[in-house]
Amino acid sequence: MWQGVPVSRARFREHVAWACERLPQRPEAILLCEDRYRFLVAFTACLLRQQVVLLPPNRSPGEIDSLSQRYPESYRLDDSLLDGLASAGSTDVTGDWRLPADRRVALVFTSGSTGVPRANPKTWGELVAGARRVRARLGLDKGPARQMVATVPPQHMFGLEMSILLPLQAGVTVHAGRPFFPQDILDALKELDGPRILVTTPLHLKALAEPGLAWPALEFILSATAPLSRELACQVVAASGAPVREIFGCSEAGAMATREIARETAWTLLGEHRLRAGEDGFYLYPEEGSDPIRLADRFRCLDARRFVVLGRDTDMVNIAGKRGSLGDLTGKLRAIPGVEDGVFLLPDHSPGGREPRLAALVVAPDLDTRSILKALAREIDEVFLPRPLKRVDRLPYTETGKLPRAALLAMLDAEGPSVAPASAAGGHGRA
Amino acid sequence: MAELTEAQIEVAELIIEALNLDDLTPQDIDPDAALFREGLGLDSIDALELAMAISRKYGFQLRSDDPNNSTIFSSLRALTAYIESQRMT
Repeated sequence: MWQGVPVSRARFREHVAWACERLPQRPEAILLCEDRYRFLVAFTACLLRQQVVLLPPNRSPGEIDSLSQRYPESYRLDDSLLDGLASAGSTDVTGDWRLPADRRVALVFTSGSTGVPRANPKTWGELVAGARRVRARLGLDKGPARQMVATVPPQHMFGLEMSILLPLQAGVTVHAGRPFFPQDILDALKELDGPRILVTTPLHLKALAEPGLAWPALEFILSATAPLSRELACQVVAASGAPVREIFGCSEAGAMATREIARETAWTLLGEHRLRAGEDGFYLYPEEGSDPIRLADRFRCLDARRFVVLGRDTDMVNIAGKRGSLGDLTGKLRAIPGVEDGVFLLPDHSPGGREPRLAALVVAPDLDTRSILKALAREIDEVFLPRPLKRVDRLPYTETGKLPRAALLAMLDAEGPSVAPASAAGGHGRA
Repeated sequence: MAELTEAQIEVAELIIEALNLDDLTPQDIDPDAALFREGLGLDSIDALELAMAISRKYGFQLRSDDPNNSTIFSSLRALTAYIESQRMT
C-alpha cells in the first residue's frame, strides 16, 4: 500500500529492478529511508546487489556520522535516492531472486556499554527463519492475506522483522506510512480492506486507549519494544475489540517469544528456541543451532518453552521502547569539550505515571546547561536527553571511586542550581 | 519577546500541565520559539502526551501534517492557531 494505492508483486519487482540499476557500486548501504515502501524496495535491491544493509540505532547526526566513519566505503541510502520510483518503467525482472541462506545481509546496531554501537550481524537465513517462526505463531500461514499498519521504524529490529520481512515472507501487505498520532493510525488502518494487523508500541497504545476513538475491525494488535501492563492491554482490548499480542525480542536475537498479557504473564518461546542460564547471565539457544546469544535480561524459566522476565541488567535502560546503556550515555556526556565529569542515571519514580526519563549530573564550570544539552542532542537519541540535567561542583565518589546510586539520587533531589530541560534558561526554555 | 494572547496563554498552560513542566509559567514561553528540540526541547513522547491532553480538553484528534509534525508544533503561536482552526470546524 503506497501513496494510497496497492502495489502488486509484479510492480514491486519492477520497482526493485529500477532501484538495483541506480544504487552505487559500494559494499554497504546505511539505510535511512523513512517511507516504509521505499525502505522495502531499497532493502530488497541492496540484497540483490550484495550490499550489506547498515541499520543505525537512531537517526541522530552524530550516530550516522560515526557509522560512516566506521564503514568508509558505505553510502547513505535515503528516500531521495528513490525519487522517480513511481515512474519506473516495466522492465524484464524474470531473474532468479533467491539468496544463499548464509549470506550476511544486514548489521543491526544497538547502543553498547562501551560507547561504540555494537553490530548485530544477520544472515538471510536467520531473517527468513525468524519471519517463519512469527508467521506460524500468529497464524499468518493460514487464511486470507493480512494487511498491516506499523508505527515503528523499519530500521529497528522489531520494525524490520514485522513490517519488512513478513511482507516479503508471509504475503502480508504493509502500509507505507509510519502514522504517529492515534487518529493518523486509525486513518491508515481504514485505508486497508483486508484483515487488519496493527504493529506498534506501548507508548502509542497508551494514546490509543483513550475513549472516543473510532476503531475499524482488527484481527489483532502486536506490541513490542517494552512490556505492556495488563491494565493498559485490557483498556486497548476494550477500546479496539481486538486481542493484544506481544513479542519479546532484542536486536541480538530478533523475536524470541510471544504472549497475550490479558490472559497470561508468561512468555512462550517461538519455534524450537531454548533459554538457558549461563554463568554470567541468560542465553538464547537459537532453533537454527547457531551460537547461543547472551541476553541483557534476567529470567525465570517455568518449563522448556515458557518464562517470565525478572528485570534488566542495571546498565541497560528502556525509555519509550528505546534501549540504551547508561555507561554509553555517560561516556558521551563526559566526551563533550568543557565537561569535566558527569553521570547519567534513571530515577526511581516518574511524576504522574508518565514515561520515565533519565537524569544526569554534570561538572562543567564553564558551560551552561543549554550548550551541554545541545551537544548531547547531536550524539544521543532525543528520548535519552536528561530531565533534569543538574550542574554540580563534583560527583559523590566513594573512597573506592564508585558512584553509589543513593548518593546520586540525593544529589539530584537536593536544592540548588538545577536546570530542568524545559526550564526558562535565557527566556527561551532550554537549549 | 511578544506578548501572549489569551488563547496562547491557555495552550501554554495546557502544555505546562500535560508535560509537568512545573518550573515554567506561560510567560516563559516565547510564542515564536520552537516547541521541539531547539527551543522548549520537547520530543516525540511529549508530542503523544500533548495530543492526548488536547483531545481531552478541546474534543478533537490531532493529525500529522508531515512526518515530523513540524508545522503544528513549530511554535506556541502555530499550535494555538491550529487548535483554533480545528475547534471551529
